[in-house]
Amino acid sequence: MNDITDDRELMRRIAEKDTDALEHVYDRYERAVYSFAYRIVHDTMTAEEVVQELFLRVWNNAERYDRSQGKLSTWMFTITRNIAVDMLRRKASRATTDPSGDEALQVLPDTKTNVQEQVSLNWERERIREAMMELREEQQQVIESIYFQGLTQHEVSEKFSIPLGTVKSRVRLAIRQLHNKLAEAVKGGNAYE
Amino acid sequence: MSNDYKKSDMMDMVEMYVLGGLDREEKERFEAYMTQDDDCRTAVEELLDIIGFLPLTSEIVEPPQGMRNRVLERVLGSSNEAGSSSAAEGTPMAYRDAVPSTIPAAIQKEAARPSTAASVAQDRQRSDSGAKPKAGIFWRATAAITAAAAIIAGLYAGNLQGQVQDLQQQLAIADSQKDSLQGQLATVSMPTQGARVDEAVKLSPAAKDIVAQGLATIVIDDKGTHLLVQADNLPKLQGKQAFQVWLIKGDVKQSAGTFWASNGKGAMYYTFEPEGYDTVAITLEPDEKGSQPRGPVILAASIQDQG
Repeated sequence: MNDITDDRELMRRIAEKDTDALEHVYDRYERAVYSFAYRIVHDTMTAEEVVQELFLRVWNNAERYDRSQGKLSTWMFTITRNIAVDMLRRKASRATTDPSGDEALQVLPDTKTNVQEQVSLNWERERIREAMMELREEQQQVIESIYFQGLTQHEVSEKFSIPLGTVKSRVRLAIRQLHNKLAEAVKGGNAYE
Repeated sequence: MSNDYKKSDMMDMVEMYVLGGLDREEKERFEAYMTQDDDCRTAVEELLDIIGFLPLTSEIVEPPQGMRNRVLERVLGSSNEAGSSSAAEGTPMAYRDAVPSTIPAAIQKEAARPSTAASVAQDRQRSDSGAKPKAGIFWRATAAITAAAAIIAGLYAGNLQGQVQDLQQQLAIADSQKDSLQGQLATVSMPTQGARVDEAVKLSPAAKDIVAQGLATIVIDDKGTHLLVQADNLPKLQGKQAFQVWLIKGDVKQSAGTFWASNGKGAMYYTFEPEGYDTVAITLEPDEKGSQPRGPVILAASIQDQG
């Protein structure tokens, strides 16, 4: 399959139960969604559960994907976050972090696929990281707490003992700043397309 | 409902909504309002792709071995266990329709087709033999390298014999390449004849409009591990521009040297310590002095550095 196969075409084929298309999407996004899930849940098994749930939904609901709603990567990341945050909340009362997890992760790495995409993705990764680093520390903190830890604005306010209005303004300014920095990348597409 | 809320208040919630910081009640209120306000909906859509970049700030974590097979087998074989309504909570409404909490029965039936199970079984067979199914060229090339290295090392003898046998089917694909690689390796071991570049890993264009082609070969001899890169149809350099070769491991990029092209052709040679590099790439740099990539990727390929 051509590496530049359009996401829309892939999703159309998945909706028609084309297993090759599903595997192609899986190979394209596996590392990115797994890494994202792991960042949220901090547990290898739970992260794998997140990925499994994600692809169950992709397989069963591909026809619902609409490119006008955003890139496929955005769509998948949104679902990934929702699943991961939900799992995180459900397991909040239990210890979810495996202390040996990080070591185990590096022992048997899978071979990568879609090399060109991966290389380009690394460049995109640098761009967003640079944009994030340009945010003020307190802005990074609220994004981390909300987006990657699944807290609500009220929980962030309480956790850090800062007024709710301050949480809102920090998020608003941070997202706007990221938008200004990354708008060009959005227009130009990214490594997944 | 929209009349119950000030537009400015709702518009102020856009960023928090797309980031996922609203609680359930706030989110439902916002989404109800959004259905009636095109400006609000447009503002959300504009920011969704920005939010879609945030996951890329995560450190790359390699998935556990075998995850691909487990996930695909589960997805294709028993999708009727999927779905949890609570997991859809917090999903921006634009995506909510894509994440229903129940799986249509017709799709469940479809997902259980024998053909999909066979696909996974075949997939698992390939993976269990030590190789993840990938694009053909990549696999054939890496299999060729593996085969050549195995032969030079005496096929690792003893306990690796079983693995070598398991790989026979895949290695058959690479027999012709193996022969040429053996010849190449033999040539490299003779300094008076110099290194002769042969196909090992094809470097593929990183963008549609790039016509360049290239080969990257890893040669192992008694002097060490060597990377040979050759490229044709490279774009014309301007000013101080130079092509730079990178060995990449995850996010870490190690310069393997720079070169200038002549009539679109260029080549370079680099001896390195195996560090588990997974990718070789050629970028177009503003000059030859960079320690990290600054320009666009022209060509790239996966490699299997045994480090």
